Amino acid sequence: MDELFQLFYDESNEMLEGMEQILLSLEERGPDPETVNALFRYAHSFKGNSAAMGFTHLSKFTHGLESAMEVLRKEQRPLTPEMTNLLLQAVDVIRSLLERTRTEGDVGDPQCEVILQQLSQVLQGAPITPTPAAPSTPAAAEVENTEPQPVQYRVSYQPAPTLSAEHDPLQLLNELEAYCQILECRFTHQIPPLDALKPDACYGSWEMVVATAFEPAILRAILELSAEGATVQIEPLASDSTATIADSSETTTAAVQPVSSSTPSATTTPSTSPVSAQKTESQSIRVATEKIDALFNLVSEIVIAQSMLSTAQSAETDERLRNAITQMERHVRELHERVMAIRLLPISYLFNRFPRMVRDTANKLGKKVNLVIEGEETELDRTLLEALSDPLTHLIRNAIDHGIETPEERRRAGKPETGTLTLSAYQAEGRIYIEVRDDGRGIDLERVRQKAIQLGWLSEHDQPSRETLLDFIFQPGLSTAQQVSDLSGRGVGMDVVKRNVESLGGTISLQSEQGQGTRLQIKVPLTLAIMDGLGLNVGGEHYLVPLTTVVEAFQPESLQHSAMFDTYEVVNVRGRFVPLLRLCQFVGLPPSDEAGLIVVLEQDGQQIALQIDSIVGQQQIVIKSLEENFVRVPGFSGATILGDGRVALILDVGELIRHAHGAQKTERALAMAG
Amino acid sequence: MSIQLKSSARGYRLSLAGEIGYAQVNELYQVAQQIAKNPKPTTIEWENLHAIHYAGVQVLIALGKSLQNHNLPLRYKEPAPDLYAQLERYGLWQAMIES
Repeated sequence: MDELFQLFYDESNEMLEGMEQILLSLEERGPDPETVNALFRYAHSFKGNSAAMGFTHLSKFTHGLESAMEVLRKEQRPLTPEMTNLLLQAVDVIRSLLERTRTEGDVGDPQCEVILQQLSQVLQGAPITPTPAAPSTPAAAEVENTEPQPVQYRVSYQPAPTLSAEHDPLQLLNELEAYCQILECRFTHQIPPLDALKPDACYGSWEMVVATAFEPAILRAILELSAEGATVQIEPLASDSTATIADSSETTTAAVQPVSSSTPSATTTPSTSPVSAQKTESQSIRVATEKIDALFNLVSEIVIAQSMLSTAQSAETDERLRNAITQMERHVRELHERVMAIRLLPISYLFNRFPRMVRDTANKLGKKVNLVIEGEETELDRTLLEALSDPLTHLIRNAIDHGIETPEERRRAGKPETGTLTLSAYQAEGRIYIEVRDDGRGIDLERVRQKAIQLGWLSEHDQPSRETLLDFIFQPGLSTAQQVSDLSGRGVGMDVVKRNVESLGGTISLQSEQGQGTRLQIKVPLTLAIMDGLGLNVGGEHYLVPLTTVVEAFQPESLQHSAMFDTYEVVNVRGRFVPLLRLCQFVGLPPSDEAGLIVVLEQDGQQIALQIDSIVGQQQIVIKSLEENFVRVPGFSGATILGDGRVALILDVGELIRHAHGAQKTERALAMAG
Repeated sequence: MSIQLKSSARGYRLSLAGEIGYAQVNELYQVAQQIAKNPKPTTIEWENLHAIHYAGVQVLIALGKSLQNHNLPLRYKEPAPDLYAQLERYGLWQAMIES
């Protein structure tokens, strides 16, 4: 049962996300029938699912929404901003109710009634009545007085000719009563004797007089729901007319001819239809993430075991066993790749959260922002996706709050009133690049400089480079925002963003042109779990680097080495001087007697020449977190278990490069100044 | 859901209980056909029936018409209050007892 509930919650959240996206796209591009249909289908499915789980409040509320959407769908009404706002509010209320059902069960929310009432008013073209306050206040009394008074309608309802599990006219009449009071009801029929009866044909119809404050289109939508072919006529009764149905004989009112159903008999209809529907939907299944994680952990262990087998293989003389191990290695690699693929999700799962946030944030700040999303099909490990959510949320809020100007400011600056915020993702060099770009005011470097002086990071006479000033943005406590808003501007955040990204093995960089805009680029590894590595030996110890960072390896000649300054050495690599880092020194081992090898590593466009004793070989490595299992060790991004059972450290190439390029020196200077 | 037919020399007793959804209408229809093939006075006992799909109501009305053609009555015992209220409100109760 727990699994069933979990499935319900997972599906519900997906549906809510889908509804939100559709509403935003409708607002942006205007209504088109297919999109409105999709919106309607979401609400319809949500209603059915929540009813099946016993959440009647949710079901009733979504039914009301479904009815409103049915009006949009049938009458092809334009979606006004008021309607969009109300429907988005409705999505929020459903989300909140959904969360509450986890702990409180079947609960309602007074906001549901308010939203449905306001939707009805908007559909009638009336101004929205504000949410009623406490009933005793005069304001509330005023609100009550402005609420629409019930109007009487004559309703003729001829159900669709074919009945089904979903199409039960009695159920629809029950639902109708949630929106009106049925004052009179007359049932007419042409039900034949049993031998002529088709059990799935509908032979009846109803004539009613109802009173309602809701839009009649909502009543129509309810009665036309669930089955195509129903006929509904709704006419307002004149205010002075008596609420009485004209006495109609069976011959005139019960003209419902049973339409011969194409279904051969009722025996097969209810049982076969769902089965055939299931067949068409069975191309994907939903699997709990814990199960995938467990599978993945198992594959990780198999990769380690395989690595041990491969190590033992070198000493093995039996040709058949050697071949079997080689074949096994191939299969394990493929198994790993396939399981990895299960963990990969398109980044749209993350990006799709942002259109709503951008819209709401921009509205709140009185700005106009067009969000452009690029590369949403780029796939990323699920763990990384979740971990990137907070940093990206922060960057996007910052871009709207601080970057993009108000329409007035933009006009004055000769820019279009609507700012553009671009969120893009792509894969390159074995890493995922995510960019947040805006065409706003950019970062005022002089203000950053002044702020750094105020904070004691710089003296008045310092003339730091542009890069150093931009790097201050990622230091704790710096905000150049003139006003602190509830969105950003408290100087808390960019340092946390940087730390979060770095904890994922990623980097973040910033480019900004005053008046032109700002670009933040995040680079993260494809996965945090398994990668191809190159084993390096120094002083008898085994270290690993990600294979994607390896450019080349060579045996240096003495002339290629050159000392520079006091502490740095460079190596001549085909006419380019690359900073040299002696790994034995870096890890605190005594200098090696061996002539050694140079391995050139590259990350983010920067290279380093790493001197080692020898290359051990290429292998798949399962990354184990040092922070989780031990402590964070500077210079190392993790550890792995080797084929012989020993633990080897994985070098953090980014940090080695920063070290060699003297970045650490700058950081130390900053820390001392701070 | 339960549909039970008991036959005696005096007639049939058709007991309905629980909920007759669309999936159960077929069974109800087959039982009604059984009655119609060998018609006898029939009594519907449904005080434990809580809900019925409209298709089921049509079957009962059609059964009433079939028995009526043989001048045989279809009697309804007192239904559950909620079900009665619903059938009465939507005009179906009248149609059932008139059939």
